[in-house]
Amino acid sequence: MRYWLSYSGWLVIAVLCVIPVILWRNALLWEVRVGGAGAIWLSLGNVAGLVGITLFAVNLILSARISWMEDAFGGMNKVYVVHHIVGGLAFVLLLFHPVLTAFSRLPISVKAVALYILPGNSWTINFGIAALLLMMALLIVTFFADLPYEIWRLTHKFMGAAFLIGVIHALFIDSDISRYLPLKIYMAFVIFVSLGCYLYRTVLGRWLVLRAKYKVEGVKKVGPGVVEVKMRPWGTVKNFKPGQFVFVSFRNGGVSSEVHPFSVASSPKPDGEIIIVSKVEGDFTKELMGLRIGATAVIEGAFGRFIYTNFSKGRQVWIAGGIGVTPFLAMVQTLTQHPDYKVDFYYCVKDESEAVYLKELKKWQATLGNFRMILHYSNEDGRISAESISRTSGNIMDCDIFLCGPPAMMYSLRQQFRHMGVKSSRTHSEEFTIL
Amino acid sequence: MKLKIIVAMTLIGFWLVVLGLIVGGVWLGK
Repeated sequence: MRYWLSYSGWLVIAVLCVIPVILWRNALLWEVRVGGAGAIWLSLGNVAGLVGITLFAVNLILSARISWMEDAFGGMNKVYVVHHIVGGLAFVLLLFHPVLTAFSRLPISVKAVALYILPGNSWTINFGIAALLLMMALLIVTFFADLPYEIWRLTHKFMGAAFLIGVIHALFIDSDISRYLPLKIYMAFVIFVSLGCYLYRTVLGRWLVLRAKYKVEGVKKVGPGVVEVKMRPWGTVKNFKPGQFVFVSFRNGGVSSEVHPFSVASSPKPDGEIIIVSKVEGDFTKELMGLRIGATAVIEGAFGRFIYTNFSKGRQVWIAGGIGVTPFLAMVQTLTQHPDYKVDFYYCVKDESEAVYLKELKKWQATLGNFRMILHYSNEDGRISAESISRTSGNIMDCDIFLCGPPAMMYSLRQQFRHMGVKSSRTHSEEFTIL
Repeated sequence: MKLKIIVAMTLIGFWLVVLGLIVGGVWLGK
């Protein structure tokens, strides 16, 4: 996969935001836009509103989890990171919008500004205020409240309602959008597409999103607080590549039906068997220990670009931290079909008791000629560093490096590799924290 | 984390401005 392609999504977002500003610029003479303090405040408020609502629309599109977005951002997990950032930016701009717009009345009086920003007789302004207050409540929950996942998810779904109310404000208030047809058409188009995506994923997702049903055939404890779930398809077999992840929810399994992402820990099999492995970290993962055999697993995916065969043949460095070993378990099983890849696999755990699947990994090391495992016990050797990896593996400047583990470990290693001179395009990581 | 701080600061700033406008504009009638 070309590195630049994984940033093309950002470029598209930037273009989508610049277009309404250019159209807005053409709607009126520039001299009028900047003619006096009041006009400048108004112009700033207009731009904040236009870009804010466009980013909000982009965010609804991003949340639709459409597979072509993966190439544009470098994987679905990255799409969610972008979704988080874009949502935050949209919120900040939409908060600035009413304040800046109201400040255009500052040359009249402070009272005129206050009366403009408070609910009044104009229903279009009241809709804007209502949208902002709802968005504020929902985003405070998103960013700052520590709610159970399912309740958090439910509140997040109402973001579409905040958008809809905001859209009514944007389209019907007396503004450049209502007065200038090209801008009106553009905004209506972006809004239409985003509402379509919201309907597809959030409102009608149950019927429209393609998912496959699997049967839970085995639930096994494979280490302290680590559970393995084996599933086989009822019908359609999900195609995936080693290193990818799927979204799974269980029905009739004695566990919550929450949707969670899991890396697939098994290699693709003709009978479609899929194994996922989870560590007890929250209420849901704790419940998984008691998942019933015979339960139905509803699977969506596979997603992700953490695929070693997408990158240069030759030497690669794989680094797993704790339960981050799961995608590598799938990857290592296919190395026999790809003898052109030579892998140094660093497995970082606190001590041997945390090293799940160690026996299997040792077996693969003994069988495969292109797989070397280096165990790193942080209780004895401290944190793993880019320098120690370079000492063991030699020159790693031209290697593709795959990282999966705790976010702090991945962040720190990425920084260290960059300081060492490894290009960012060579380090690939699998983040799940935002999902 | 940085984004969280930016969002929190903007939120606080927003409400401070609104409060200031209510006190200065509506209550004191400036």
